[in-house]
Amino acid sequence: MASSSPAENELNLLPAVYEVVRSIEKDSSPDLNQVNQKLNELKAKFQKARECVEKLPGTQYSKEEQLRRVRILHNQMELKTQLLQKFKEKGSFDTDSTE
Amino acid sequence: MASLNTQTRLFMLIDDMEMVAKELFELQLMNVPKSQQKDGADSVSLMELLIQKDSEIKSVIKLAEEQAQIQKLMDSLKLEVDKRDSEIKNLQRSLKEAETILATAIYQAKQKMQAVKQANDHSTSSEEIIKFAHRISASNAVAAPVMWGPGDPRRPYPTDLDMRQGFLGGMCTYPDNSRHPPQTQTSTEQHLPTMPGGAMQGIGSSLSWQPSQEVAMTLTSTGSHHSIHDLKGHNKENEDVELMSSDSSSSSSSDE
Repeated sequence: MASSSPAENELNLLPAVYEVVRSIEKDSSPDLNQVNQKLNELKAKFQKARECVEKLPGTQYSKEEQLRRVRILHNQMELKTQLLQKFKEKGSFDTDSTE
Repeated sequence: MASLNTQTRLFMLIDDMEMVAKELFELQLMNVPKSQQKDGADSVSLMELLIQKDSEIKSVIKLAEEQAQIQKLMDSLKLEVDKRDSEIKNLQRSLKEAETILATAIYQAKQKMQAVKQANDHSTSSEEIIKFAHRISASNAVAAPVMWGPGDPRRPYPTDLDMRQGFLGGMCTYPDNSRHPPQTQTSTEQHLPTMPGGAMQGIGSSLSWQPSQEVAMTLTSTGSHHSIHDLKGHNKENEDVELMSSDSSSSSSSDE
């Protein structure tokens, strides 16, 4: 975990949870207003995390599915390249076979 | 679980974390007025669960990052595939056009070959064709003679004059006149028009124009005393001819 990506930052929910717990445990009687505030912050953070996950590219498939799709696309590309190559090389027609 | 996509996994982990956090807060809030030791174990286990979920989330995020890289590769591959697709479509279209053009050309060439074969099979000599053309056009029925102009009494059909000068006409009229049939071809000589006798029998229809030509020349030329009497008679006939020809309702003329 050398560099933290934006996703990691968004989904780093533990500190927020910790803040809430701390505000509850602060002194013998917790300040309910502060607790509420922290709770709201936590809720907002959860919401942001969900939005961030939605935007992540490539996550609509599992890794295996994604790799399978990449393989298929690669095969398609190779086939089509070969086809084009064949078309372009075989430019002349056989005049002997025409009637 | 592995078959689930990464997004669903992340959502599930986030929901789990939310639930665990809620449980923890409830426990904490319940514990605050009372002593905290009773549910300490529960709190600890909940916290451990939270930590575990957090680490799971982090690992799945790493997977998501890898998948993002793969997705970039997939997008570029898709772009290349689309490019090739459009190239293939273009080539197909050109091929189709070429095929259509070739098919048309071959069809037309075949037709021409058939025409050539037909011509070769039924070939005729050019001399024969020219001979027939000459015969057809000799009577000036196909096109007017070279110097023909309006007012020229010559017609492509036998005129009244010609009919009277012919065999049938000669049988009924002018029985006392015995004229020599004009055999000369020169139009400048002042030949008297002939009344047909037995000599005219040998003359074919192709010479029917000759007398009328002679008549036209004699009529148009000035100063001939020999032919005055004949001219008078023929003038009347000529007038008839001209009247008839100018009249559109002549029975003997062809449809025009």
